Amino acid sequence: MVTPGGARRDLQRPLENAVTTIDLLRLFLWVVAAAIVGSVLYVSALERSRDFAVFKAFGTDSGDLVGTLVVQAFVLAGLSAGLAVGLSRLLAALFPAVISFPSRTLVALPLVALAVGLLGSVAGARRAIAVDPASAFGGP
Amino acid sequence: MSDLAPAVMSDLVVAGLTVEYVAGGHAMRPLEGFDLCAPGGSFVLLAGPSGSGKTTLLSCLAAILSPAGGSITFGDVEVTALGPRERTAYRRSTVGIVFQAFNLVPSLSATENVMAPLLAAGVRRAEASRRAASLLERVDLADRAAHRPGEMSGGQQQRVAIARALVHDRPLVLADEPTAHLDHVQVDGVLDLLAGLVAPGRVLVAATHDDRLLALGGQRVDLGPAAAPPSPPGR
Repeated sequence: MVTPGGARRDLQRPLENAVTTIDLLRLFLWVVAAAIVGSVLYVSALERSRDFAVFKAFGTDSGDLVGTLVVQAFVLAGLSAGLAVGLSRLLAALFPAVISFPSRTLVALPLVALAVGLLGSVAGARRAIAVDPASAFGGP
Repeated sequence: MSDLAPAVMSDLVVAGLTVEYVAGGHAMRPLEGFDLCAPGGSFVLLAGPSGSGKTTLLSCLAAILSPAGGSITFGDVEVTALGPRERTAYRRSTVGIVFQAFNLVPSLSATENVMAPLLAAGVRRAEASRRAASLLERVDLADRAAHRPGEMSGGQQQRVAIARALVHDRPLVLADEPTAHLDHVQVDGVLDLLAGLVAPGRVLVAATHDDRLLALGGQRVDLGPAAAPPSPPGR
């Protein structure tokens, strides 16, 4: 005797490998996103080393500089998450099948993006903390 | 009194200042037993060849560099006894710096560059904007307030940098080779501005090679070339 639950599980069995693959791919893409956000912020921090030195020479706390980098990371990750949601809705409408977006996904996406942004800002923050205000002196 | 004069009177006293660092594997002592006494309202000119310790001395006065020995006292604050957080607060409240390379933030306008130290000190944006506009007017750059550094000449950038250094009415202003990257026309405007900074209650210390700056008068201090520290006894 086949129950409705058993029938559903049986129907989903051929998809198990595909779902596992997509989950792994999704995890990998989050790691890539963290690396991209981190790279962008680190390069930005490197380019602004002299600015950081000047601000420190004027008495700005390292914590305030780190705070601006974290905010920048949040904005970058948040905008990316918003763009991702918009694009997924647009592409879903063009896809020749019904694609549903569970509401928990829409809630989780910005939260994960903020966590990724925070993680990505670590390298840039370390750079900002390490800048010596004495390097603001001297020629260009 | 100049309308750019600070509110607090302070004397600068440096006693037996010694700075050591290692460069290229060799220990150097750009300053050894250096003394200086500059009452409030004085203009100190640091002259000497490259490597003689002028910028090192400015870094010590700004509480950026910690000396190996000696003391710096400004007003009633012993700068060399301050901890790291106190040094940051001291720089925020007391020291204005004019850099050789201007060091304006390229993505910010002249007004925003002058506002930056105020915002970092927690001053409200509207008040910071009002004070920045007032300072830019004083340095004759009101019409360039919205321009970014890349759109201004070297002399104009240095005047913005001077406005930024003065925005807190700081009683100690340090200028590191302020005319080094300016042509002779631009230098005149900056010299006039620097001369106007000498005011009761403020100590202005400028490191320079420029004879025109030396001609402004003030207390001239000649620094010699850096020396290697004496070898330890028995070597």
